[in-house]
Amino acid sequence: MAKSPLIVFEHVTKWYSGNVIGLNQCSATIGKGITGLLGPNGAGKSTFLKLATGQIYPNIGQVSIFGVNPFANTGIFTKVGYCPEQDAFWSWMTGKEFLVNLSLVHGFSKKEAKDEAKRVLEIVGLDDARADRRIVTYSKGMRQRVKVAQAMIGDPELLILDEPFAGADPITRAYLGKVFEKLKKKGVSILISSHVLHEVEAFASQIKLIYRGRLLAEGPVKRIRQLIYDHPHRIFIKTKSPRKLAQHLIIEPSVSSVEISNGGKNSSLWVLSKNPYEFYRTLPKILIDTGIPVEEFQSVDDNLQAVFDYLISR
Amino acid sequence: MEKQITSTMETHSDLLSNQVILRVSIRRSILSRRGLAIILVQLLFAIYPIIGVYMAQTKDKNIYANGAMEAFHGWIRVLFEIIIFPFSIAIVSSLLISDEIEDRTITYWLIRPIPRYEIFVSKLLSLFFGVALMSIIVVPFNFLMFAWGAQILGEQIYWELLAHHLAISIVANLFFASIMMFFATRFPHSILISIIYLILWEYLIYSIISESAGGGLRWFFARNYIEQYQEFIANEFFQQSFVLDVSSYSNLLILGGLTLLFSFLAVKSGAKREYP
Repeated sequence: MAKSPLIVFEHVTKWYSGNVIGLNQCSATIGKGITGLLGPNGAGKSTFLKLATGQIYPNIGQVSIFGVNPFANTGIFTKVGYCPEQDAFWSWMTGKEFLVNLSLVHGFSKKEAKDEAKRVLEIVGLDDARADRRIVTYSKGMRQRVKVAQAMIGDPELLILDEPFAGADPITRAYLGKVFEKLKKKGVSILISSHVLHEVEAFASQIKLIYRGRLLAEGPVKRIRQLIYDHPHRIFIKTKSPRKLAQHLIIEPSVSSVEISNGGKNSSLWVLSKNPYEFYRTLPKILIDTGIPVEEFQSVDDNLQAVFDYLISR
Repeated sequence: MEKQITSTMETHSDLLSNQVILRVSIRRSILSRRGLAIILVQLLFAIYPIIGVYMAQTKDKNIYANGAMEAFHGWIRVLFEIIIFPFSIAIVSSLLISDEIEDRTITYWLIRPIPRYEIFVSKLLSLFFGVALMSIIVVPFNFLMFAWGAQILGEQIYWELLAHHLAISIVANLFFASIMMFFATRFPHSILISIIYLILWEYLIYSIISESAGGGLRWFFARNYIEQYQEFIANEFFQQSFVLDVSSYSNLLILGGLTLLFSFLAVKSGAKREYP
């Protein structure tokens, strides 16, 4: 647990009208550094972030950010910048006008607001002619950059970013990743949500896994990676000699079961491994020693959804 | 005992922030294509009765004049003042809030270190600006048409009544706008709610109160001189002068007070609600 928590959730439950549960008895602490909030769509990530930024209030439990109750407490935004998930803008504004207007509302004078807009545009790499174009003409990646830029107005200590990579092109993803790295070095803390681990694992020091409104696991990236490796994997292997390969695999301690699917030319194996890490290490050796050709190899459970399903069923 | 969390972080409050929100709200809701279209529709409705009057004068005046004049006044009073104008106000004032909530652009205001109530005060002011703008453009235009029609038909024009109507229209519609904004901060689909409210108030409640349909808002200012007004209409149409009495000013004050009350409720409700 971090020494000085920035955000604290204590047994927080949030439901929406129609008995839709957003968060369910969620207790979490977000410390300094970069924290990734991971979960599939509808897991409760946005609810978590909206509670943290005081846009909604918990039905049960308590939320605090920098030690204060955030609900309707706009004072927190002297220290917190928030990038919303939704892709909404005032259609007639250019990128620069958008940021200048928000800087003015943030409390900057007219001249300061222009400077501030320029500063944040530079950070996100939009300090060129594109900033003078209307936002509606921007690509998804550029819009994501503008949204991140508006969150950085006022140089906040904590950035809360709701799916900043969603829909962005690989160049924007890489660029924003570097921006977050630089901010981390400057001492800015970031809470970033995503549904893809590899988007955040490069720069996040802590990961929190959230699913169906529950916090399932948390810890350093390494531990989350380990969870992916550790839970039983189903592995699909397409080969012309499924029986021969099955004989060699079934005696391996890392293999729990092997199922042969005979379909003539489409013969294949389904392997269930309780120790995938060990299995992935052993398999190449077996294939080389036996000379069995493999046409296709796929681990269908090597993703977050599989980890969530596994953790839920434990 | 439950731990109490108190705020230690200060928000700033300045005119510049409010100006930005006000400017963006006006640009979005009133000076947008939709806002201008609403004003245009009102102008068209304001022009329309004059066509009938013009047609009437080309016919046998003895046959058509009174009927045309009554229809003309009826059109302005019932269709324009009671239906078209309030509905326009309802749409603009509801959209001013609900549009931003629905497309989530309101989030960009809510995540700035300014008190939430200031956001809604700015929005309310932009709404009042819109109502005043509509009143200034549409209502005098409508009355000019009214006066022109009267001139064509050889009727006397009662400017005091027109001036009184203009003042009443602005205040009554500000009142109406504040109620609509209050609804918009409380309920989703506020346009639907507004229309239901409008129908209830304008046609049902007023019908019960005054035993005649239409004009609920006008009841506030008309109740003290309703007899005069009815007599005025029932006898020879516009054949007697109309004098503004003090009681109508007191009704204006009542309306003003109610406008302030609903404005306060709208701001409070907007500032305290959730934005999921």
